[in-house]
Order: sequence, then C-alpha cells, then structure tokens
Amino acid sequence: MAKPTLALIPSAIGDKLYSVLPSDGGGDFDLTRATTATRVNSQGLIETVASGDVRLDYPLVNGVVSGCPHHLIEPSRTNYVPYSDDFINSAWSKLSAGTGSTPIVTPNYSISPSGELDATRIQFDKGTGTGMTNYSFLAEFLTVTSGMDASKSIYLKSNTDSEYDLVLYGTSDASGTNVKKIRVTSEWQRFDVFKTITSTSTGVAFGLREISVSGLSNTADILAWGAQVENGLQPTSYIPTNESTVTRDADVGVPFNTGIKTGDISSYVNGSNGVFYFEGSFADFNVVNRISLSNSTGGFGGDYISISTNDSGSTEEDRKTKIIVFYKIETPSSIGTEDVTVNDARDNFKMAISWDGATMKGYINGVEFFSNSETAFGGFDRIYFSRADNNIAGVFHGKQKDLRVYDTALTDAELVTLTTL
Amino acid sequence: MANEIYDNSWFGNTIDTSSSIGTSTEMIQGQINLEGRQEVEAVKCLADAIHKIGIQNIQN
Repeated sequence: MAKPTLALIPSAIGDKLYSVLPSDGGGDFDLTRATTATRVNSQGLIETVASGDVRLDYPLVNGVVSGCPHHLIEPSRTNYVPYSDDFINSAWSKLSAGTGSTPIVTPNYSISPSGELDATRIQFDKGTGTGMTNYSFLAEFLTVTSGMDASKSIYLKSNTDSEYDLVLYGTSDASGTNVKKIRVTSEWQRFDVFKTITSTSTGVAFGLREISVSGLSNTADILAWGAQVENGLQPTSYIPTNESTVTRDADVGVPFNTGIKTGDISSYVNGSNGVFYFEGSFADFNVVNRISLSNSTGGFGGDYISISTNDSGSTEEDRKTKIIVFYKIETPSSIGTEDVTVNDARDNFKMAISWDGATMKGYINGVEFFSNSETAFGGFDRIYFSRADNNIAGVFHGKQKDLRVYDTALTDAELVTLTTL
Repeated sequence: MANEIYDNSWFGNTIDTSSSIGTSTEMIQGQINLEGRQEVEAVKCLADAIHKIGIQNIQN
C-alpha cells in the first residue's frame, strides 16, 4: 500500500491540529476556540484545556483509558446549571415526602472524575413506600429558552460496595426520553436524559422517586459530580460552573466563522489518482456536519468530496443512521450523492473515497458502498472540517481519530484493509 | 515481526523499524519534525500509527 502524503494522527497538543505528514507542517490545521473547555486526559481524568487549544480526548471503558486519543471538535454549548458540582448549595432542592427522608449532602467527600477531592456524597432514603409520592431526591429547577432540546447529564458513582437503582429525569416532564431508571455502580458513569421542552421551565432531578419508573432502591449512598443541562440532543463535554451559567465556545477555524482547515495542500493531492480517508464519528445531527476535501476557489462550484451527516432525514433517528458522501467533478460537470446506512453515526467508522480517473469508489468499515464511472478531478487544495465552501453552517462536530490523503489510488484489497475496523 | 521489534519508546519504534520503512525517510522525519514543532503527548500512539503505515507499505 502506498504511503499517505498527508496524515493527521491525533497526538500533539497546542493550538493546531498537527499533521505528522507532510513532514514540513504543510498539512497542519488551524483551530481556535474563544473559551476553555474540558477533555478526558491520558490518565482518564476530566481536565480543563486552555482557550484556543486542541483537545486530545481519550476513550474510556469502565472508567479506564482504553486506547489512543481523538481530536474532540464540538459546537458551542451553555451549561444552564449554575452550581454544577456544588450540591450543598440551596440552588439544589433537597426534597422528601411520604416515607422518604431529606437527602443528606456532604460536599468534597471523595475523588471526582477530575481527580480532585470535590465529589459530593449524597445519602437518599425514600423508605419502603413506592410510587411517586414517597421520595428522597435532589433537583435544580431552571429557566431556559422555550423550545430548546434540553439534555440533562450528571456523573454518579456508588459510595459503597453496593449498586443502587435511582431515577434521573427532567423536571418539566418526567416521561419518555426525559426519564431514566439508572444503576449506579462502583465506577463513575455519566447518565443523561433529554427532551425538547415547550416552556421556559426545565431542570434536572436525581435520586429515589418512582416517577415513570419502578423498582428503585429504598436507600442509596452515592457520589455526585458534574451536573449539566444544555441545548442539544446528547450531552457534550463537561462545562464546570460556579454561581452562574457558563458557555463553552465552538471549536472552529481561523477566522472564527469558518471550519477548522488546512492551508494550501495542492502539492500533496492528485486530482487524477488518490484516496481521502477519515476515521472518527459524528456527534451532532441537528445541522449539517461535514468534512471536505475541497478547492478553495471553487466552493460548491469546484471539485470536492464531502463526508456528511444525513441532513435530509426527518427525525434524529433517521439522520444518525446514515452517512452521505457528496462529490463534484467540476469539468466535465458530474455530481454524486452516495449514502450508506450505519447503526449509529456516533460510533467510530472508517471511510475511504478512492478515485483513479476512471472509477470512483467508497468504502466504509471494510465494505464497498459505491462504485461509479467518473473522470478525474481537476484538483484540490484544502481540507475543511466543514462543507465544501467551508461555511460555518456545515462545520464538523464529533471525533477525528485519523485523516489521510493518498496521492495514488489504492486497490480494492488495500481499501478493505485500510477501512476494516 | 512487527511485535518483535516493537518498542514503547519514542524513537525506539522509529529506529527499530527504520530498515523496513527505510524507503520513506519522510515518515521518520515527520515524527521528528512534529516533536520539534509541538509537544507530542500521545507518543506511543503516533509511533504505532507510523509503524502500521510503514508495515502496510512494505506488505503490499
């Protein structure tokens, strides 16, 4: 198999996405973010990264780092919980009724996912009563923007050798996707629920209350940290707060209203023969998310290949189970739209698009999903973590684990090898 | 072969596999230059990725 001419392997920290190839830095990607943000570091701890800096984020399995990092690229989000890990604060209501007792809250009791001594111990006791009128739980009630997709999340862990069954729910409507029976174990886990709200009232509640769930523990001795309510269908990286809401800005390119991008890479890409390879996952299905090999002077009018979320699906479920490849050969004009069904585009996938001036092929996870007769491209000179015109409206949100450009086409066997998970 | 010559150190993997990927000094130079441009945190991950690319290069 040929060697790539450009390779972005997430490994370096700093204010760019640093490509190992080409060796002169000509394949580096600019990046900016106006605020701090958090990541999971190589020790598996959640830590703050300086504004403008890349986030190398490590995958966790059962609380342990399980592999090499990815670049974490996220949209702007606000944590509407003003006291995200200060559960003793009066902003958190300690509620009980019926056979239940008021929760006992002890701050700074144990080590949190950040590695600091700032996890809060909470002892719930709802007694032997069942149903929603016998309870012991914590809640923080919030006023937000009506119509937002309110995602609520929190980190929880058992403080004993026992596991506990609790409830997590959104205070505005404890039904459907907005309520979940959760099992709190000896490992830190992040739990979440979400619902599009129809008023300005929402909030997050957790503890022992059989509201839309049943079979909860009668008592629980747990640790809590990092509550978050944000506008999105799923939670993003943790945004710490202290007395007020906090906004984490998006990871974007320079200037601010563009996607993360390379400089001129035309000398590393061959319009007649080549492969565009990406490994990673998408994280946002409300808007268009793309990563493109493109031509800076052409935009949508020039040559491009874009790997995209399904922007035409009618529901989130539909959108996240399909990945689309858009491409255009400027001369002679040829436009292609090829889609492939996946289980969940939030899962890591490997995709390669290959062209040789006669045939263009797409492979995902070791399987070919299209093969079209196409002439050569004129040429490419940029990679955008966005649409082919690098518009802010189409920026990529998700995880980038590998990205390569080859200046020669690969064989079918090589494409299978390259994209097999 | 790949596992036998594997080394966890930054240059260990590079040097030990240099004969097999020797036709591409750019790959080795890319590692060295990246370290020079910026702090490489995931040293082993980068070395493994380059090592894998080099092995794929000589196997096909």
